[in-house]
Amino acid sequence: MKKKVGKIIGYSFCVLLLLCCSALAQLQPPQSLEGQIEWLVEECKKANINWRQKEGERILVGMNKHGFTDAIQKLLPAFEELTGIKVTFDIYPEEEFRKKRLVAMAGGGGIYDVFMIDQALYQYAEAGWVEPLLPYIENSNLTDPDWYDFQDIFDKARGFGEYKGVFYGMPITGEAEILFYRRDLYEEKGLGLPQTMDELYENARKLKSPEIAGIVLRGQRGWGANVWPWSGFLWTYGGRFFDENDNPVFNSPEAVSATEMYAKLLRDAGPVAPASYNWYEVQSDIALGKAAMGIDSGMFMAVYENPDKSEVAGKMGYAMMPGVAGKPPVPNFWYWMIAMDAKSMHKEAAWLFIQWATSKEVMLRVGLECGASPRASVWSSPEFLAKYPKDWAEASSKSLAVADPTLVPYYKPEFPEFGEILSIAISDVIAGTKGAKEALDSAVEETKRILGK
Amino acid sequence: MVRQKRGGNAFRSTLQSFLLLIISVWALFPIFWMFSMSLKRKVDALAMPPKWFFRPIADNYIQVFSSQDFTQFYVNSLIVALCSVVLVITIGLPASYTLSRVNFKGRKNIDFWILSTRMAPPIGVLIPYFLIFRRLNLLDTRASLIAMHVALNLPFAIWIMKGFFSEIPKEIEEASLIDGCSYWGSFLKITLPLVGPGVAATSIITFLFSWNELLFAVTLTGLRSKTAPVALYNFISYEEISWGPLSASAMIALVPVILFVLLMQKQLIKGLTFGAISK
Amino acid sequence: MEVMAPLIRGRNSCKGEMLDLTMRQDKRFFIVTSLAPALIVLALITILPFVMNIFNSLKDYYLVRPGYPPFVGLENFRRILFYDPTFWKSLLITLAFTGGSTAITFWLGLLIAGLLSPGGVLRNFVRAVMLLPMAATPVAVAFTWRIMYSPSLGIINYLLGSLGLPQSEWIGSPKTALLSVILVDVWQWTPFMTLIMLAGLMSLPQEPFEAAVIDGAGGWQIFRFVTLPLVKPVAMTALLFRVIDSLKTFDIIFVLTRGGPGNATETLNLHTYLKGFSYLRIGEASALAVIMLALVFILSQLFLALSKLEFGGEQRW
Repeated sequence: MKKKVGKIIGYSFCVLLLLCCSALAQLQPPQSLEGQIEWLVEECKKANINWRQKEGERILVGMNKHGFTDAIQKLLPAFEELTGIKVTFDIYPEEEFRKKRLVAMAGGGGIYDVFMIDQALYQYAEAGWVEPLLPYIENSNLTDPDWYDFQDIFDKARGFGEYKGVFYGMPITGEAEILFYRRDLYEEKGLGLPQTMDELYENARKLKSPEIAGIVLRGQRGWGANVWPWSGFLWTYGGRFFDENDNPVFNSPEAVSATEMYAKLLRDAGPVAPASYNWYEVQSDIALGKAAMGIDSGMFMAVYENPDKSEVAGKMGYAMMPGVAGKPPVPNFWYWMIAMDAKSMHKEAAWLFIQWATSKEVMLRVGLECGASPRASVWSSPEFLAKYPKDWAEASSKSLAVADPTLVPYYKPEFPEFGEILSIAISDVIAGTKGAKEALDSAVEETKRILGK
Repeated sequence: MVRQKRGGNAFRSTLQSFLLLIISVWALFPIFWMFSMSLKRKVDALAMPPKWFFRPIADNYIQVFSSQDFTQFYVNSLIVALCSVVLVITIGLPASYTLSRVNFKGRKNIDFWILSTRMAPPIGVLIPYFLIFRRLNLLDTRASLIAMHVALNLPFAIWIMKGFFSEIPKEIEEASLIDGCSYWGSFLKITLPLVGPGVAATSIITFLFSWNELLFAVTLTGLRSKTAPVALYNFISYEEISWGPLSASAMIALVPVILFVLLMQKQLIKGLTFGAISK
Repeated sequence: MEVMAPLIRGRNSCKGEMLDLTMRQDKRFFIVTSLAPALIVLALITILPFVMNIFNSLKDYYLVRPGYPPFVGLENFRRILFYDPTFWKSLLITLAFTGGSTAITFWLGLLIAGLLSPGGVLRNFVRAVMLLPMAATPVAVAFTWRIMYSPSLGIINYLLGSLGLPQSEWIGSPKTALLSVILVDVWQWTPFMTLIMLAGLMSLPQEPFEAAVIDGAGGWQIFRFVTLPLVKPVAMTALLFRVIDSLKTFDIIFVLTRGGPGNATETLNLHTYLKGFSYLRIGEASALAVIMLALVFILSQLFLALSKLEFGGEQRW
């Protein structure tokens, strides 16, 4: 009863406060933001380059709707004040931007000077649409190497932005596949953190009840849906996508074991209809208390800890995903990147923007806002660690350190194609339509055919 | 429109009212659900068992209104939709009339060709359109989008109106022609008012289509000419779906549509009375 | 009035006139000025991209490979029709989806239009309400249905459970996914049918009905023998367009199931989208688009022939 009254009072107070704030927010940026911008400009001026060398130019930046975009947008006035370059953001949600970006590049490029990009980078690099960035990093007129500290970015992240040895995409976020679990339920049932997949399975079964699923995982088809968390399972079990001779081997015995465990978790301890679960279902089930555990992107933490968006704020624990019988886990990871159009008319100005946006200072502010970063200095900064749950930061940074970019299948431009076929196979196994061996075998067959083309 | 005799069939009219109720609930429920989500915080919107009683908040609407260039998107959408409707009606109606009245060699082929322009799946033509508009320097303009929407809706308007025109007996026009009216005059003054309901229906559907169209809107527009559906889509971001602002956006997007429909409703009913009088 | 007699008795044998030089000057003027704008607009806007689409389908156009794509003739078509097992499955699913969805929408729309036509305050209100499913932004609608279908967080299973009715996995099971998607499509597009049929019903002349009532026909007989034949041209056209549009349905399927589970709801349009925008195989996607076009073409020809959709056959100058 007390909780309810407290909730109502707190709620109404927040509502009132919010209403006042939003009314004022429209009028001017908050003081703290102005202070931040001032500070940022001062810090950037310490770099030993002439920021104003491209004064007066305009660049168009195409971005996904993402926490990063929101954070950077707020800080944009700092860049404009620093350089005199006018930056305009064109923002779209991920799927729409994929179409738009593709049509723009296929139609000859020259529209977006800088754009946010995912694994499509490798397709674009193959097609010659993106500009190699190393020359700009090494150009002392444009970049101050000490101030910028390119090495501070995780080397795995830097490796991720390379295609065939040439560096094209500058990483801007960093997230890892981690395990989230309800600490309160674990305590209630006296469970320990699972170190192996079998322990995970046991815990999930013990936690499952008619009201709450033991564990949720992505089951829906799509090269960007179930394949992502499944890959962590694949690698942890010792499987790989391709072998040294570039043959697809995701039907190896290890892969089959991984898939069977994935499906087993969902079948015996998972939610109803797991084949319809994409990342938003995974996220919302846990946030609304319908699932006790999940393995997915660490970025969900921001939603779980926000009482406006979740009922489990403060109840969640975070850990690295479990390994398999003595072998450590090999989690999946993700870095969004920004790249430059090879046909851009404002390449230097674009580079100045990229340098600014991925600099230590800006990345720290952005990291504090959206909880992801590719820079080691951000992950170890005291502000960052103070703001976010310790176990989450530990799990994420350890996972990022272990993650291996050489294992990912994205480098082949055909990835969306065989990725989709693989995802359909996994989805079939989860839905119970096919057995793991059968599904993966036919997926590999088709992949061979696609790559043989 | 057969008028039932009063007191003749109480059972039938109760049955009909009951059916109407079911239909309304069926049509309205998801909309109502969206509306309720627009007034809740995300954690309440998704709560299960559902929170039927809650304190509504205005934040979601505020967030939509204060989001980037909100007014511009809606104005763009309005302009594109209204222009599309006007152009489709003015270009399509005369063509439709002629095609339904006059027989000439190759008419059937023209009929079918018009129909076929609607058939092409957008995927195949998206990149070609982009290239063409780019060459013409018409990217990121409302004009290019209006042109697309007109091209997509014209076949529909022509074919549907043919059906309505065919319901009107030709003797009425023949009478006016004999009286000395010109062909255009007869069309505008005699025939057109008789197809009010058809025109209203076609306008509503054209408006709706243009208002909600997403694929070409995303591809052909840029910063200046972005339309409302694209803006709404922005609430589906990478790390979460912002149900509150998404639903609020959808509700706000409904308002012009409802207004337009109300505007056309009068036409629908007006047509009815005209039909009765002229005979 | 004897003017109405031909209308009631059915088709008469009016033949059409041929355009010839002895026609009235202003008649020719009228024909040209009324038709030309439409034909020019359509020709200008649709022919070139359409032709480009056909050309693309004849090339080995893989966007990832730079340079000019080579011409390969019918290779893309051969590959799709003979080497791609998913194509035929997609075709089947597409036909099932379109057939199911349009059939239900048609009859439902007709029924509702019939219920709404008498007018009156209640019916006018329902008429306005009926339009909302079609009017709401499709993307928001799709996501809302997605969350409503969720077994854990969705309202549908919750309501079914509390009423003691059996619950379903909806979009999560290969057995029910297609039906779930069809249901949403029907929900969204029945207003389209209803609106057009209603307008059709509203434009019908009064006399045939009055005559039928005088002749002693009951409500159902009037509907079957007077209303239906009169409203047929309008209704059939609406159905034709609904079939054509249904083959192009994208938003609902993509958001709800993305073609899954497995391949259970992967329609041809979705398959084409993935081929073009995800896999970047523009040549094959264009070829698929051409095949889809052929499919629509055949279906509409069949449709037109079967329903003898000939407009104004009785009413020509």
